[in-house]
Amino acid sequence: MSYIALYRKWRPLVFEDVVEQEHVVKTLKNSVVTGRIAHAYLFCGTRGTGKTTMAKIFSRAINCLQPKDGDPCNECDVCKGILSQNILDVVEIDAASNNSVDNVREIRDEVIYAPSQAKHKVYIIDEVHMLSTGAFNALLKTLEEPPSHVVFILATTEPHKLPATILSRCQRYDFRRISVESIMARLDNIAQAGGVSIQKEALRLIAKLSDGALRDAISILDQCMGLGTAEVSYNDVLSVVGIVNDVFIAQVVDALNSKEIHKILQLIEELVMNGKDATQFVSDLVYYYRNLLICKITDKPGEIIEASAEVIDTMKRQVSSLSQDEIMHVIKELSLLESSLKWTTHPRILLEVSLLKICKSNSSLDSDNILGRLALLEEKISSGTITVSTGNREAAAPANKPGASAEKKTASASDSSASKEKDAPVAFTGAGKTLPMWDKVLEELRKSGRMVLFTNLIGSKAIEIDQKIVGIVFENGGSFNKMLVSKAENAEVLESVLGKVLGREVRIKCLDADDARNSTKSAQPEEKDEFVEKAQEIAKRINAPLNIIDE
Amino acid sequence: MDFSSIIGQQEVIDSLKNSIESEKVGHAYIFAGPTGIGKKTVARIFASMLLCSNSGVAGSCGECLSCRLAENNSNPDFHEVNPEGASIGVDEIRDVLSNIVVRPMYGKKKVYLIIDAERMTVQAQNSLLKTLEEPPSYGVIILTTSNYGALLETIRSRTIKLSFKKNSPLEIKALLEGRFGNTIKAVDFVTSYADGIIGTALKLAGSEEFIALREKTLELLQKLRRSKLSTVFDQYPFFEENKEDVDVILDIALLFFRDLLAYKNTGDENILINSDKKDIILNNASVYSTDRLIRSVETIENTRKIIKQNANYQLSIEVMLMKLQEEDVEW
Repeated sequence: MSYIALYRKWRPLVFEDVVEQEHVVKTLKNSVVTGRIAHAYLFCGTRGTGKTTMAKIFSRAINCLQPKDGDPCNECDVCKGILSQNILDVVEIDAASNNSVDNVREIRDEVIYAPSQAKHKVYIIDEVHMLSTGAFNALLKTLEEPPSHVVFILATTEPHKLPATILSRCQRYDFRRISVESIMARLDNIAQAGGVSIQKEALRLIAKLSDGALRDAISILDQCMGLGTAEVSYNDVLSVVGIVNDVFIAQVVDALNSKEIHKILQLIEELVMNGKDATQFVSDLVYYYRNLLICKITDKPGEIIEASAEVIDTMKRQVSSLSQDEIMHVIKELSLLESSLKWTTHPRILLEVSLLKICKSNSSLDSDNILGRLALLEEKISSGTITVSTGNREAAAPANKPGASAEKKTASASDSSASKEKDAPVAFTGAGKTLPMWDKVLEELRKSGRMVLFTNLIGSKAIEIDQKIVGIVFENGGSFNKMLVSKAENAEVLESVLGKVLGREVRIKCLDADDARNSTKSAQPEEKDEFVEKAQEIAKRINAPLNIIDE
Repeated sequence: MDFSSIIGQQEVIDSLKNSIESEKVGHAYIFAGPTGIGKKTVARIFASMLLCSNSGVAGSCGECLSCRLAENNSNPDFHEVNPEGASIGVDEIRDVLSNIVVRPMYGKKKVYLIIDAERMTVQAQNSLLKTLEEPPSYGVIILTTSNYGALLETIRSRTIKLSFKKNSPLEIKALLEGRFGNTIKAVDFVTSYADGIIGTALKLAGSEEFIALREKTLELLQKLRRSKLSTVFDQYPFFEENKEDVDVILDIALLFFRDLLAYKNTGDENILINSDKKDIILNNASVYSTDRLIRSVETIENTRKIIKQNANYQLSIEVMLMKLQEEDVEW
């Protein structure tokens, strides 16, 4: 007899042995005892929760000659025959490979014949979600009103793929994921029967890894027992599944927190060299951050997180420097990584880059980060602890005050010390006047390497149109130059240089020679806005700096 | 045949040997690990040991009928399913299913080897499920995959997974020097580029084309940084000529940006993969911003993905080039 994998060897033969799923077991048992057997059942739930097993047990239970309290005896001829697949009344169909209409037609043609030995003819249709639409529809009539001796059991992991017309014709049983405790107990049983002792920590790890699927858990156990040692330890399990322990993850998280990029790259190198699976590592990391989040939110994380006290202490230490938003941001980023890892042939590089990105997230511009910065601002505003570096702003304020009259400005300019002449604002001399500092501006441009702008401005003149606008006059035929200069990015540079030389903020306006003549003519003495004047008066009275933005 | 020719992979080999010795050979295995690490080789050796009529733990005898047939690839008890074209379809799997119910001709086992199992279509994977869970007592199904995560959960849960680990750089260097002597250029680079994968190392070490491709790609990437948007389109012919090797080109680009990123953020020359192109990396590291490098890596990966999803090749490449060329956006 060749070796049979543990999960097949330990497939339960009676309802009693099925782990959890009490809600299903109870109903099915009762229906066997009372003889109220429906004609179509649908078992759904994630992998390894006992759907096929339950279907097999049930098929025997309803046919057994001496059922014991709803359980099959597994000893009578019928039970034995079904177990050894000698009785053809229980048919197990793999719907995924027999998914066409023709296969269903075969079933339809067969069902009318009475069972040969058993009481009921049972069709177990496994992986039923893979039937084609045509096949589903061909099955409908038979599924609704089969001959009295027929029972259909459909099993699937993806019930949402079944048409509603199928769902409504079946009694549906949802299989739940199996709890960690139950898996641990079952594994312990199996290990003991195999003459292997296994550490509690190791059991817990296997149970956690299997994510509620008993078959996964038993597969891992099988591999661990395959190592041939008498005792399976926590580290054995780690090396079999190729994952890293919490200490390693904690190191990575530490490095991420302190943004030590070099350390992170080294850790990844170590991970890869040990043949660990990047995808698995990322999902472990996500899980770890989830635990960190729990540590952040609750006072007693120990009740929710399954980990040793030391690990929880480490988490508490790590979480102190993180905000909830930061943790969620990391989790989001890692989840993205998880999905893109499916495509790549270089998981390592993607992992490196993503972790780096997390380190650098303060400088990135994604919406999360900006929201984070906004939150910070809001907090500051509501708490009223805004500190502003006042120096520059006050110095600039008088120059920006558009309402201040020209005379006053000249006065203040001459008031200010002569040594500061360069920085002193140059007064508005009157509309239409040529700007005397134009050469200086050009020189400034040339010095700062803005050669394009400089060359295009050669031969142009600058005139003042009003307080805030300087007109750049191009000779006739200079329309190309004009176009270039008036480009937003060039204009900006020019404005800033002009502003520096004049000591006040100005806008530029590019003009042809003809325009210039007209515009000087039409330029009116500055109109005084009543509203502005009033505002200034008030500002003066309460002695507050006033900055008017004129659009 | 035996495992002595395999370098490294001690844990995998031990576990397989152990299972034969204790007669605990499972019915379904997944060999997972990067392409070129030796999954197929190990699987074939394991299969030959299972099929051999007087096999011990040491290896197959090479003399019995099974072994001699296997040598000529004509052993009816051994089947290998290779992806034809891009994927393994449901029909190929159905062939396996109808074949596995026939008892073995010579040995005690029948072995089915499905190469690159992640390329099975969803239907194909589903149709394998039932058989993968409970094959006939003589059936052994081995899947190899370079992307374990891409397989259905239900497939994964039915199989025993053996992870193949990367070899250490020392092992690879020793192998290369042993096999090629001192004739190949840039042993160090090939070693670190191969990133612990023997298959890649062997393939690249002997390949002049690869070296040339790399030079050209690096040159292109550097040119790209300085060029105007319009010249991007002039670069496309290079990709058209090397359409078959586009994955390699993307890899080279990816590693280039990765190195820039790593160097920029650590300043450590020893972690570079392109170690023989240190000067290029060092020169360029300061030019790119970290944000831009991260975006470049994402762009390349995205391009790889959409090309695999049958997006228009030329458009995808050109969009990628444009994005790579794009200057930092000033904020």
